[in-house]
Amino acid sequence: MSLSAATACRVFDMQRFSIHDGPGIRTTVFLEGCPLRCAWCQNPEAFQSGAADELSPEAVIAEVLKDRDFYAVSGGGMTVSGGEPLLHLAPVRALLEEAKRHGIDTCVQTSGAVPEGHLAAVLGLVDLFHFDLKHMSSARHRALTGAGNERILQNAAFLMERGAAVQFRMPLVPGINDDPEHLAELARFVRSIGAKELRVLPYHRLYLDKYTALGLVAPLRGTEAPSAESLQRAAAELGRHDVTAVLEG
Amino acid sequence: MRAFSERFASLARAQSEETRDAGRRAELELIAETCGRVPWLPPRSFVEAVQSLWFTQNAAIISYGAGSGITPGRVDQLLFPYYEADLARGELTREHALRLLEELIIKLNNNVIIWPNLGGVRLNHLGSDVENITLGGLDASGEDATNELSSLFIEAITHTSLATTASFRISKKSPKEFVRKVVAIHRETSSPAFLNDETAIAAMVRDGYSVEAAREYCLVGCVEPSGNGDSYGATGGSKVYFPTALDLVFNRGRTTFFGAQDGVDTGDPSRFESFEALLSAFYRQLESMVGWVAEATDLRDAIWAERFHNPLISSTIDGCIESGRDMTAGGARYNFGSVGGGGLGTAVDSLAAIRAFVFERGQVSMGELCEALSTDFRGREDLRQTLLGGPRFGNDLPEVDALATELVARFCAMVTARKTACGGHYKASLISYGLNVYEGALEPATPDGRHAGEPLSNSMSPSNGAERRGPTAAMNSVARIDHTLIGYGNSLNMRLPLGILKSEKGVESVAHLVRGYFDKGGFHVQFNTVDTATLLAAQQRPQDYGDLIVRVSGYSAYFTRLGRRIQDDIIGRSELAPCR
Ligand code: SF4
Repeated sequence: MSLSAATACRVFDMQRFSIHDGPGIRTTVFLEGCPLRCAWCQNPEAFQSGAADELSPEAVIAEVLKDRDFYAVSGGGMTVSGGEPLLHLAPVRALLEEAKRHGIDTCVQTSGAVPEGHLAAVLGLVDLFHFDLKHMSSARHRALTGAGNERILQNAAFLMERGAAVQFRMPLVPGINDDPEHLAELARFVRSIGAKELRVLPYHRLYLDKYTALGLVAPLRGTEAPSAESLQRAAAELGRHDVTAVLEG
Repeated sequence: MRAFSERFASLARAQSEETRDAGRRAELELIAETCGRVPWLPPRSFVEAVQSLWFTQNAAIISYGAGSGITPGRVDQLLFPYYEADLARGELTREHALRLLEELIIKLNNNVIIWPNLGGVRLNHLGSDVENITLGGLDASGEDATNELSSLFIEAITHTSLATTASFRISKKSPKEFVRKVVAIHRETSSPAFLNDETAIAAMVRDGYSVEAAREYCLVGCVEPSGNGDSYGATGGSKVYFPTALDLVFNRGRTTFFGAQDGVDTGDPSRFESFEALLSAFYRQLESMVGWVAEATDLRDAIWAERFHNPLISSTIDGCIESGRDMTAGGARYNFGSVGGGGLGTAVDSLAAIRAFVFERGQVSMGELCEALSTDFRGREDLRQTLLGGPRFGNDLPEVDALATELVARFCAMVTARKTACGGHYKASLISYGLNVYEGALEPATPDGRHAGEPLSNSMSPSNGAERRGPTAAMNSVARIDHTLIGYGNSLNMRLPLGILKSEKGVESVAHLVRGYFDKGGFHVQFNTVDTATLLAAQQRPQDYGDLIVRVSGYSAYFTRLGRRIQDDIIGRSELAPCR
């Protein structure tokens, strides 16, 4: 198979039997590259160039299709994650088109830190977006991820306007974005763009070894996972502002 | 039988006369009345039916002796008419019925025959024999027969938290909620077995049952499907090990362990010119092994037919009374024998390694491999590591899975071609009875890089730690095999990802895994939950736990690849330490 450079997918991991990355049983395809550098990033290999395999969209889908019987019984499919999977448009679009050609359900996990045109270009190919909201203060956002949040918030509103199916998600990181004032502001934003629900992903420490293995220092190595009580508190705070918090286990 | 139950009745009578507690006296009087009636006379109520079932089961096991695999069968179906009638008459409540079932479960886990040590290691907490109960599934007409008692049994199993051997028959018509409840049992206690009705019934019909009789199948021993009260199954006890066939090839018909010329001389292994030549030698050895084992089994059965009649059990099996013959002498309506196969994963990985490293890549010669195996890889750790890195069964690799598919098909054909003394045919099985660790002790080093004495792969499962692509990939591999050929069943044992049952989504996903596997034709699957002891063992022997996945929201990792500190962290986290 000849590999067209334009649509070659740079895949740094594929995970079968993913059950927390969208409906049903899924295969998650991790694409390399990300414009952000979040302090809590659990996939630092996403921006280590050279760690990924270059695969044609057909080759990726051939792997994804191996579990199609399990997607059929569970309402699952393929999730494209990263990194930021929408960073390089041509490969991800080709991948999603190929999935759709085989009738595979698609979910894309995005940071929203991409040009609006990239989102517009895949709208009809994506059954569900997972959209991360990390911090409402642009300055804090810049300090934590390397970029401000203006474009991200605009893109969130854009997807809602266009009627896309979107699940908004926040990584809940103790001491970073779990204070009541921030949660209130986040909830107001979510309501303002017409969404009602926020998935809360509690920070965890399982990824820390990856940094060591890659010879990197994890910025949040001293941060603990949020306690059950603080998760409940966060959920209650979001609830006070009419946003249903769904704790992801 | 009557004298046996009467002893219980008279003891209860005597005690009731002595007690001053009115509540206890009423209880003892009920016991006396119940035991005075059943199983000699038919039960009139749910209480009597449960007692009758237990007495019959208990007496059957005592009459047969140790090592029995006698099953009470489809207990939810047997007891349901009594339950329904008593409820309607207002003589029983759901809660009371639950209490009785809990007591029955405790009894079924009890030690009837005294072999506590082996039993405790091999079987369950109380060292009991395996008294497998069958729940759910289709009825004779092909409709779903799951009932209120099926659910009550789930509650009883969960509340008692014993290692109850329970088989859940799942068909395409099973209520989703029922499957979900069975999965949720794992949150409290150890592994219920899932059985696929469609595959089991097809296998039974292939073996000569009418489709109506096949639909009434129940599980005997571990996972052996058998007729419900109409069969002399003899489902276990005789077995060959696929890795032994390889040992015989490597040693021209002698086993490393016993040294005698037990097999065929298939020629000097270092002179095989192709993988096909080796494979054909392997099958010649296997054919001769199956022959030996079947002949030995015939001999054993002839002795049983002559010396060990069992009128009590025979009276519970359709056909014996009608034909006037004991079950051991061909009286039952359906008669079979069994030859099991063991170490499938180990053998397939070994064959795949030979094909890859000797014949395809030429990295090692047959002579060198023979030498390394005979010395248990002494001084050849390099070679062992290479072999360990070979392609393995359980990773959704079609070329490797094809070796397993062919091996099982040919083995089943060899077995089913043989007739038993009672007039039926032998059926094949691929199950380990929990013995794969002991079985491995007799096997020399194998070409998959396994050291002499290490456990073999269990049942139809991939070798320990061999599966690296998750449960769906392992299921795809195992389901490439035609399970309807394996008349006496096979089992797939899998570890559930750590923490997966915390969420409803996780429970639902496990149910979907089962459904997906069954749609592909899988016969049985059983999941082990991961406990702290497993995690500690995985730290000690990471090579055996390569398939152990830790899953938390949006993130998953292989436990053995995490650093020690993170591993300790996980072991210490109570929310991840589920379900003993
Ligand atoms: S957006 Fe995701 S992949 Fe990119 S740096 Fe942040 S956490 Fe990592």
